[in-house]
Amino acid sequence: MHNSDLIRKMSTEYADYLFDESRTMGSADFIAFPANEAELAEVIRRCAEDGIPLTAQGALTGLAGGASPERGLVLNLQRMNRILGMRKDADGTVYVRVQPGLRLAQLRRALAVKDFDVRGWDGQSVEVLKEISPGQLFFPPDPTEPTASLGGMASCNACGARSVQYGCTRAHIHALRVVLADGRIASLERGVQRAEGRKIRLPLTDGSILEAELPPFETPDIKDAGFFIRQDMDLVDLFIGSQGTMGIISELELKLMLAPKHLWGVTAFFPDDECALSYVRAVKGRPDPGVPRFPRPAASIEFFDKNALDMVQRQKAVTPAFRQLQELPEDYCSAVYVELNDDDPAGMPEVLEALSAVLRATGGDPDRTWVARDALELEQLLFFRHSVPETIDLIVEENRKNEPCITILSTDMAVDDGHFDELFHIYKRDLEASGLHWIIFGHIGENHVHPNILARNRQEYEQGHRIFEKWAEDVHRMGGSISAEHGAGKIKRRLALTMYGPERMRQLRTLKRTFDPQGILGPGNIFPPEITEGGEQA
Amino acid sequence: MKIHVCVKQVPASNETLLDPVTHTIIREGTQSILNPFDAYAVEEAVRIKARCGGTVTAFTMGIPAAEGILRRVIAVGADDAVLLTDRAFAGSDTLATARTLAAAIRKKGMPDLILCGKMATDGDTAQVGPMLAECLSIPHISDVAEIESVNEEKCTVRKMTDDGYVRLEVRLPALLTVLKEINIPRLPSVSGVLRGEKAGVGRMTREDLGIDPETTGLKGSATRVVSTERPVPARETVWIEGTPEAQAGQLKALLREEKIC
Ligand SMILES: Cc1cc2nc3c(=O)[nH]c(=O)nc-3n(C[C@H](O)[C@H](O)[C@H](O)COP(=O)(O)OP(=O)(O)OC[C@H]3O[C@@H](n4cnc5c(N)ncnc54)[C@H](O)[C@@H]3O)c2cc1C
Ligand SMILES: Cc1cc2nc3c(=O)[nH]c(=O)nc-3n(C[C@H](O)[C@H](O)[C@H](O)COP(=O)(O)OP(=O)(O)OC[C@H]3O[C@@H](n4cnc5c(N)ncnc54)[C@H](O)[C@@H]3O)c2cc1C
Repeated sequence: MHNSDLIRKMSTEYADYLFDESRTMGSADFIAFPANEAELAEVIRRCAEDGIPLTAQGALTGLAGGASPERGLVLNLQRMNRILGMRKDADGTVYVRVQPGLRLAQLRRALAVKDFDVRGWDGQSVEVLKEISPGQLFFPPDPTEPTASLGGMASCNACGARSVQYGCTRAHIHALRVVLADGRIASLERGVQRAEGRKIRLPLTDGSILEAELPPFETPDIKDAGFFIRQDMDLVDLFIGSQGTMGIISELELKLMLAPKHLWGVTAFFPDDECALSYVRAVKGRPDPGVPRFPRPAASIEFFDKNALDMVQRQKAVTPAFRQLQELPEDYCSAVYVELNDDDPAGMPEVLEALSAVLRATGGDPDRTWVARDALELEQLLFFRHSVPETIDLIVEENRKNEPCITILSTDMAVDDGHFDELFHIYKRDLEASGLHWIIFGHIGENHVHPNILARNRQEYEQGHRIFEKWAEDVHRMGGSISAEHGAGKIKRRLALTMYGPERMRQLRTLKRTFDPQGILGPGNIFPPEITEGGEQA
Repeated sequence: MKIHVCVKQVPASNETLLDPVTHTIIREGTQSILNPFDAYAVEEAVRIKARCGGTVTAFTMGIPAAEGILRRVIAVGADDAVLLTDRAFAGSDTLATARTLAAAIRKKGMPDLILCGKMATDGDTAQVGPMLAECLSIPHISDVAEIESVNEEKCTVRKMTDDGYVRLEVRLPALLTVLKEINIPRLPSVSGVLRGEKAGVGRMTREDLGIDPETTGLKGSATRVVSTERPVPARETVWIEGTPEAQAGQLKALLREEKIC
């Protein structure tokens, strides 16, 4: 491949593009920053001609190494960050068309303050924009890290805190344009292009058709960041969650929702984890005996164990930005953050009365809580929530100085309501017995907390991986998912093998090979080497 | 110790929004919040009360809906609150605001200490605190970064200046305007919010204060906001991204292009 304006030779100048937030260090020979779909397709065509593998990158905030390149070309989409237009359907739902490199924070800001660069928009889009007011519409998925790109979020089917109420990214993507491994382009709309049973006929914009057969099984019916396989499925869903292994998303049409007029957050502290779990069950509408019923569904429910709170508390002394964090109450153990929304603030006292009763019955204390009722206050609670993964990041960076092989070791396994307590106790038992440095926090509302292991040396790092592999088996037995939202990427592809089993993994690989015969898309993602190296006969 | 705190309701964002299609200013949809600086004044008052005992009373002059911010202040520990609201107060500039607040404070009885925010995020003048002190003929210290000690007689503070900090002592009663570095305002608890919602909020009109209509509102104002507009950016910002080497390279090219070097 030649060095050109579009495709450049890798050099130290681009060292920052060799790893994502997980700190999985990759390597590459070339890098490209396409500015539009035509350039993107051109890069992929040239890679296909020369058989060069390529790894898509959105904003590099992924936690599983998915965007860390494994040789070949880095396809960085940060320059494709425009909002292209809007449309309104017959029921008044508004859709926005974006390029994949657009960051969530940019989209949120544009909607909140109605600040759009309308150059190049068609007349219909401008008409739709005229009618909306600032803050009226929002895009619900909230993967905590607002700098994530929409393409990256789609590729991992990102979830985050608010999916309890609104579902994952998948539920909010209406249409996609995807560049396939040979440079051809598919334009797919939910409800329009679908599989017939397990037969796929994927129409391409050049008039050709790609035929394929879905594997004879269904992927877990629970939040899952990986492949999605169903009878009669919408073809957009083949690409959502596939982490850059089936095609590269070049455009997304997102479905917007009416923003709730009022959003409140409440963080409550508990004397132990059991009390916190009982509170969570109550706010989820499944109160333990003797605990009053809570009248409304929460938009998000987040958990923090004592180790997570202690860790942030220690970091507060070192990181100036953290000094603005609220002071923790004395003798804290675990904490739970709940988000509630409503169009009528008048109902709030009643809801808080009900919450007080639930708190008292589950060992909490209405005095030992933080309530946020407006954007500024909410920002403080979200800042606290964000400070946990931020601190993990700082600690991992520090630990890497002793042992460069260390990456973030965070899990995001999910099970159904009936299995969560069992899984939570397995996590705690195994971690307490391990002698490692660990914390548990995250999306307890949908039964996927994030146990994180903060390895200090190679031996601890390997021990961490072994614990994850054991949990993958536990979760598989419970019918859960090994990755609810971050994707298997590279760090967790072993766990994907545990979940799917070798047979299904090979069937998925066959499907991928129909789309990507040379295996150039997302090398190393999801499929462990023993599956990919099985060769064509597999 | 009797402490009064003055608080103002302001729009949540001070970013003036221009409609990208019609290019007119967007007014709808902005939430009102407690002036961010005032949260620090309230927190400091509540902390002093916790140390020295006493009461904290909050005052605001504003539209009837400003009662909401007073309930918020009660939720974080103020004992009671007074809303000064009357059509006659509309259009007050800083001087008229200070006079009206002074009349209310006199009416409620002079406290030992009055705390204000450094400034309001909408009007942005930082004048009301010092003017209020002058109206009440008491000393004031602005830009307070720390209250080192306080008792019923005097108070010692660290004040920020252009060149650093000065330590000042002031006899009470006095007024202080506070900076954001003074503390970290607590969020209310669930019980606090419920206390705020149930609390009675006192109201006072011009007549209750017994002030001359010529000294308040638009009539009593020496200045008047004739119009507000957003400055039109005359230059475009170019963001330079990438590694330090790449950024330096880009910067060099740009400077060349502009014939600066
Ligand atoms: C502090 C912190 C907290 C987080 N919390 C959460 C959380 O609560 N919930 C959650 O779901 N996630 C969370 N994440 C991670 C989250 O997965 C990512 O932020 C996001 O989903 C990926 O966005 P990205 O643009 O950074 O993708 P990248 O990291 O750049 O890429 C992710 C994957 O998508 C592929 N990809 C990227 N763009 C495309 C494209 N256009 N076409 C095809 N493939 C593409 C990449 O190859 C890679 O496999 C968190 C991350 C951080 C740093
Ligand atoms: C864009 C804009 C520009 C303006 N420019 C001027 C101007 O140049 N000159 C002028 O005289 N007026 C001006 N005004 C009017 C001014 O906002 C009002 O007079 C207001 O009541 C007080 O001024 P401030 O907002 O600058 O408050 P500041 O003086 O900045 O506020 C300092 C502190 O005083 C207290 N305080 C202020 N207002 C109140 C209140 N209503 N109730 C209780 N406590 C309060 C708070 O503790 C606050 O932190 C302007 C208003 C706007 C919206």
